[in-house]
Amino acid sequence: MAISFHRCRPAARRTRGAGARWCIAICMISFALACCDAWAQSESDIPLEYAIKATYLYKLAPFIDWPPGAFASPDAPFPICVVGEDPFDGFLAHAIAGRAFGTHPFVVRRLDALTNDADCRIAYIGRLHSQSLQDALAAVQGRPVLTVTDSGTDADNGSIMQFVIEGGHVRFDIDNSAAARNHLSISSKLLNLAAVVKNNG
Amino acid sequence: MLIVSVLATIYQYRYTRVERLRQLRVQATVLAADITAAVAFNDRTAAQEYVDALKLDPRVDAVAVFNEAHQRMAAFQRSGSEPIPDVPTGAQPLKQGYLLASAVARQGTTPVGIVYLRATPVPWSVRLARFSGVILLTLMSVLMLTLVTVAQLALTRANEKLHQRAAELADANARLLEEMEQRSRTEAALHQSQKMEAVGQLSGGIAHDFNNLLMVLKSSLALFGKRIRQDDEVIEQLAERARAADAQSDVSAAREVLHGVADLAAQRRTRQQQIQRYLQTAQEGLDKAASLTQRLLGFARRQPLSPKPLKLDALIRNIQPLLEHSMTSGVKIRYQLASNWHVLCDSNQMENAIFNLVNNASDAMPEGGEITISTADMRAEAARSDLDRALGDHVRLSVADTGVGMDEETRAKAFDPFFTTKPVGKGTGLGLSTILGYVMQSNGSISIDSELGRGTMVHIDMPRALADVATETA
Repeated sequence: MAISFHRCRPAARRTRGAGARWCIAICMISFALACCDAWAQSESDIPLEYAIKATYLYKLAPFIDWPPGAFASPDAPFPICVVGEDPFDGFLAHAIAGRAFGTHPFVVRRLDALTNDADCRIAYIGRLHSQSLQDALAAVQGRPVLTVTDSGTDADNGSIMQFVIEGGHVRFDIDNSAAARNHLSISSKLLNLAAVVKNNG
Repeated sequence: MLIVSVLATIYQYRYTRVERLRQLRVQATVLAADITAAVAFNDRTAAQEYVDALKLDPRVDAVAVFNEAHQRMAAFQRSGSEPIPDVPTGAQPLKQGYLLASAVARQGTTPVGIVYLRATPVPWSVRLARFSGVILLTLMSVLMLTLVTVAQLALTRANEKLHQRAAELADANARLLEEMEQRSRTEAALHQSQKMEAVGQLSGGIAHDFNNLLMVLKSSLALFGKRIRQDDEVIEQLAERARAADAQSDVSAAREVLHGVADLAAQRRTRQQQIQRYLQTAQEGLDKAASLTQRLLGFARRQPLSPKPLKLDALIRNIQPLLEHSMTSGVKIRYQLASNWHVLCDSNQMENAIFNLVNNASDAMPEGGEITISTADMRAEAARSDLDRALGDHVRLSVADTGVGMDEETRAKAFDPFFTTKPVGKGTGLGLSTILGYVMQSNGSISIDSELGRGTMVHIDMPRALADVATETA
């Protein structure tokens, strides 16, 4: 019995801002039952929200269709760059320890700014101090880099994915046209899961 | 067939189970594939939506989805059923008949979680329906078996009856054989007694013949003796009267004695004739007796033959005058001699045979008639009967008469030794049997063609002698 499941997720109300974050914290308690072992083993005290976001970062890797040539060699690393302010505080590095995307082991790189020679596959762009978001995005445009921005930043900022908090859950918006610009194809399963999928622009 | 149906049942049961498990695994795999994103990104709602879709399948009893951290993402179970546990954290044995399948949820090569599906056992009604086919087959085979057994029994019974009948027939056959044996024994005994009778007849016949001859001899000798005594008496009387006359010197008496002597002398010739007659009769009788003895001896001893190649025509012409001479008046002999081939035979015996046949023919025609003696060369290819063909090229000698003929019974017994239809004293019954013996010895064959009132034909077939030797001159 094959189940074909195409759903259209209704756009839910997005909550951004500090007040919403507190609400999130409460709702996440149910999550904490048999929590992510990564989170349990975290050495630093980051909010659950960012622990989850950190795990999402590397979990996204299999759901992206990486173009040939994205990796220099079969055993080239899979760099996840944290650009700007690092909200993960070493949690990410801990989370990816020992993990790989196929034959490409995950590595975390800390960057202050995104340049066009930056070797990143996934670039989480946090609060930038030495660069504007547009410049950062423009730096990697046309290259196979998945740009991720945090919730709380402006919507439609041109990044491919943006975290959103919805109903106490960490979810994400996807800009499919931005992905296409970077020659990335996103799995429909992810698109189905996304809160909002943008196709224009 | 029963075994086959049982095996089929077992196989089907197993196969169904295997098949169902396979289907379940497929379902699990499909669910796992669809649910990867939801599991990876903790979207319980989405995951539950996928899981709930499986509720539509009545056979699915429970579903459970766990992420990498063994947290339950989504699940359902039918009322009355236990939820599926995460296996590594405590496995519970499955209830009887339930099936459990699992599939790893993977995105590409990255595992993100695991999916479990549990299915109910097949309800008995369904199972029964599925097996009904096999059950039917089993029933049918049982039925067939019964029928076959019944048929077999019937056959056995029929067979027994047949055997019985066969035994009865065998018995009857045995009895029949016994009867036949008895019959043949009786026949043999009869034959024996007939032979004894024949022998008795022969002895009687021969004795009678000999008796007659002896009588003849005896009477002749008696007469001879009587005559001699008579003469002696007369001579005595005369001698006495002469002595008396001499003593008395009676001349007239002496003259009477002399007359008497003269009379005696005058009667001498008639006396001699009489005596001659008596002696001749006696001699004839002796001759007949001797010849009879000779024939008997010849028959008994089976004299060795000295066969020579000769032409039958020549032989017959040689004895022609003798044949004519021995014929009674009123009997004519006709000759149709047409043979050119030689045959190997003993001339004496052949002559005797022909004599005998001619005698018989003549005896069969007391009021006169015609005898035909004919010879012919018979070719094997032209033979009309298998018997003739078997003989090869042969010369046929036939003696035919226009006499009284023979009936079936007589003809059958004609060659029997001591069998004769002639009045007592006239025939010994040895003629034809002697001829038969001789012909057989010469590798020939003899046959009689006769009908009462029509006459008789006797055929002697002698094989052709191929040696070209000069004919024997008689």
